[in-house]
Amino acid sequence: MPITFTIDGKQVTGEKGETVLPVALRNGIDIPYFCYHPGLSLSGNCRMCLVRMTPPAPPPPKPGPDGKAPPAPPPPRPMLVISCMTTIADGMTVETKTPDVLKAREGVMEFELINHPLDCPTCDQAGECYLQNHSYQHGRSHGRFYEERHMKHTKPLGPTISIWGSRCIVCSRCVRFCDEVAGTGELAIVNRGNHSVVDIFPGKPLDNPLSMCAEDVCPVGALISEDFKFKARVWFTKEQKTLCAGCSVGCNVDAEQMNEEIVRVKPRENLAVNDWWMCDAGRLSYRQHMLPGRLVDARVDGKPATRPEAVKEAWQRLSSAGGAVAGLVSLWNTAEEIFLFRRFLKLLNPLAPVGTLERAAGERRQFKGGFVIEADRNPNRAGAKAILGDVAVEVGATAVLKAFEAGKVQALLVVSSAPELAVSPELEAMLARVKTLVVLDVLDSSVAAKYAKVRLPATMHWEQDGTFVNVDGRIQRARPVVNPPGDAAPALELLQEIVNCHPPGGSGVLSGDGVFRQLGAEVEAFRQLTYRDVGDLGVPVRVIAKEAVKA
Amino acid sequence: MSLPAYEPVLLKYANQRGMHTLEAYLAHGGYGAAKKALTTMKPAEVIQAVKDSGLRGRGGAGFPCGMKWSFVPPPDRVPGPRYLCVNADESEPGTFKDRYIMEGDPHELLEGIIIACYAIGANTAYIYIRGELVLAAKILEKAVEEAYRHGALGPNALGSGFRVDCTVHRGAGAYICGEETGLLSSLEGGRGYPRIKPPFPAVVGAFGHPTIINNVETIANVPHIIERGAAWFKSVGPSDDPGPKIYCISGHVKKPGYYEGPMGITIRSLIHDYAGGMMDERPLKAIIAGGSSCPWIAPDKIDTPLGFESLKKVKTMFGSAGTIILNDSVCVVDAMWNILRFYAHESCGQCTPCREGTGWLAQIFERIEKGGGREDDIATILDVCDNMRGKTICVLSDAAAWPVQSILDVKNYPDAAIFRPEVEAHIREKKCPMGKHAPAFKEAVRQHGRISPRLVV
Repeated sequence: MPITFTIDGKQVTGEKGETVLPVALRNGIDIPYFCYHPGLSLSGNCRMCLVRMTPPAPPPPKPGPDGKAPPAPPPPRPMLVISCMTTIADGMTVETKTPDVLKAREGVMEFELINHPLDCPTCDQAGECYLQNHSYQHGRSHGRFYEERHMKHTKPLGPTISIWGSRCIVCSRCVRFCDEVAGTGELAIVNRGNHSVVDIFPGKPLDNPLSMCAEDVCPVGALISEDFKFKARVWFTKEQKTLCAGCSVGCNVDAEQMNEEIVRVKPRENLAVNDWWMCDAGRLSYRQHMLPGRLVDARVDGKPATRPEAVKEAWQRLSSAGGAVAGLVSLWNTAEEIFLFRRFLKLLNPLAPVGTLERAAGERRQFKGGFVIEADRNPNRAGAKAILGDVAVEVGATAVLKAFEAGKVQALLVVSSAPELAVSPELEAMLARVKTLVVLDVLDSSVAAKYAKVRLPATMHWEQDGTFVNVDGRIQRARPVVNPPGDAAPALELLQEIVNCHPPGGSGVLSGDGVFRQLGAEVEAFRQLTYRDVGDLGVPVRVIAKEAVKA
Repeated sequence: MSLPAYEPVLLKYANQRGMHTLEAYLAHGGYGAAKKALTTMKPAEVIQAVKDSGLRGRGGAGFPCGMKWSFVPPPDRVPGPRYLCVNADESEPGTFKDRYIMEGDPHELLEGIIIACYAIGANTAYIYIRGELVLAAKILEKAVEEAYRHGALGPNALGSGFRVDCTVHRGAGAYICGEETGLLSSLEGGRGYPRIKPPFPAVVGAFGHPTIINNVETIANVPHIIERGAAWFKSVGPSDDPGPKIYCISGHVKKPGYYEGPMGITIRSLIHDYAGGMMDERPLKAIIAGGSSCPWIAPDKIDTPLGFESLKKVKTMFGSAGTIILNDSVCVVDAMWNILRFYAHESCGQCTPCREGTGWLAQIFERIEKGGGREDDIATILDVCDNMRGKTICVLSDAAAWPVQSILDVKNYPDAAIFRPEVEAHIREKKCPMGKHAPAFKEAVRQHGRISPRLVV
């Protein structure tokens, strides 16, 4: 049963067991806080979220056996409580703007800042710092602290994170993160009083696969990620909501770019996928888009060519193979690309063998807080299964290899946007020997690109629109964070351009959403969905791999 | 004046050499009260007897002991074990009573523990003893061993069939672990961080189970209540605040130490009858009635009886009965700086107002004492105190602010009128009028070439 109570004169409702702060935030009432985090246990130590609470009045006393009611108890007195730990109750009254609340906040802000170094100009947190924000809104306009400040240690805590102890406000979020979510417990608060600071046990660095989330939860600039340190001022970066493609979980992320380079990736809250977290490997995977050896120009038989030339050449060579064509697509390509790939091959030969390329599996890891890194390091296996059928994906490139050995493959189309793929010796031999090899790829280190007769530079998921289906069958959307380098273009466009060479020819190239609508019209799992439906948080597939059932 | 007629109860044997052994304890009828309680009384009757006696907690807050015990939920509502924790983390400056009970008469405490465990249905008791009290811990450990051998502790305590286990747990030396929830956190193996109440320990305490936490002296009173009856207990001292009490007196008196007397003796009697009068016959300047966290009171309150209610009327507290007497050789600012250094050092660092506020206050008092006072300092101090009070998880923050407010806040503490001018003089004259810290301060400036540029304004 929902519980109704009053905040600042407004009637709000919450579920039983909830506390005041999340209910207030949900209803647009601003209560400042530092130590509260929805994904961590409550510690109630920052004292910033103090509010004035009047408990519900007790029911009037029942008349005794003599028929006389005992004297009514005095009405409950209002008191200052921390809203993050005060459980809501029917009929209780909360005020967040009374003078005593404002004074308490101002006091807490002043306490937080007296030993803070105020080194915002050199602090990487500046611009997204709780201390800065709360100080503007709730702090004093001038300081009264004339004493010497305490300095605390500045040192690396592990390979990924350093601490600026003097900036630390001892909210214990990072400690709770390591204890409760990562389950590794490397961090602790050492010393007492205003010498308290976060530290590690000597010789036991903060080194776990989720360590950089400790920096995310830090509300101030105390924990700084080595990766982002001194790299950019956050107000110069542009943020884009996209996905991590490091494994089949598909963590929702905010990727930030500056000068066409991604400078940082942060997990984005999605309670259906990754909660508030992501792994370090995924977070640092943005570096893929800046790898040396990105393909930036089209080549035909090793010679540079313009994109239209190469597209035309690709169509001619594939279509002149007399239907002896086959195709391989990576599990890193978007659902739209895999769909276009399948449609194109069907156009050449409805029975053309198709296969998939994938990245080698890793180790599955589950953490104490429930966060999982999947063993399958490919973001779109479920999407490929929904479009190509379960069998085609499960056998990988085997069907294509068999057809090749039987002499049924003259021309091969390889579409990939993966930074690395597991390529077996047999597969490499086929790529080397096949008469015509058309490759859409991203890196010159790729085996397919090495043997390509026609090579077109494609993009990675950081540079294009598209959808992936994660391990739980959730369709999620990736968005372009940066522009592709050189002549590179999304396989989504390149595949359409190649098809447009089909007589009588065409010139239309649909956007991601346009292709996604076509996909929705043809494949049951995506039925009648649009990008609008997928939104920022994704939607579950309509029917998981119904085609596989038919097969 | 002469000492009132009073037969010591708590320290009757503790003050005699060699009375800490089991033989000595049994020789004067030891464990009789526990046997009586466990074999002839129901737990509810024990609780009722303690309630009737009016025994109030001796640890500082003065909460009625029997009422606290009755807060333990019945087993059908909250199943699982119950625990008794004895708070022997005696670390309030000025207080040193529990250690003498533990060193001199440990079995008195153990007998109280057995009775209390029986009353609240706890089979396990922990004695959380301050880390620095090494001798007391050793004696207690030996006494526990003796009690097990005697059968007072163990699966069949005193032949009653009731199981009582007792463990002595040594703390690591932190004032905050004397706060009951900080004690529990430390006992469980964590950092000694106090916890937010509610839930109160009587419902969710040690290891998540209902737990009663009592001071050593409170528990030591229990066997005597059972043995001699609640009526006797009520007859000792004033009837609204009764019982035997161990007073600690320190500071500028001739015979500082611990003395047992009835509740409600006056401060004057404590100084002159028990402690031999003021040291060097110098005049009294300030009284800290119940330990360092109590608001200071002026010398004219010397006839106030020492009790929870009577001291509340003069805007201070009885606390843990650690009376500190200051004579006119004391500089108010210097003494307050000393107290604040303690709280800044002992703040656990969990809540922002306490973590930063205690250190800040200590720094301001240091600066004033060393001649760097500013005109706005008193206003700042009072505002900081206001921001610290009632805004944290435990009361350490309040405990640091109370004494400061009591010497500066004339509006709420009338006695501050006699202390505040001295602080103002420090600020006005930019030095300690009593010449306390000026040389050291000048020496520091000379040696380091500079101090914080804003220190001297």
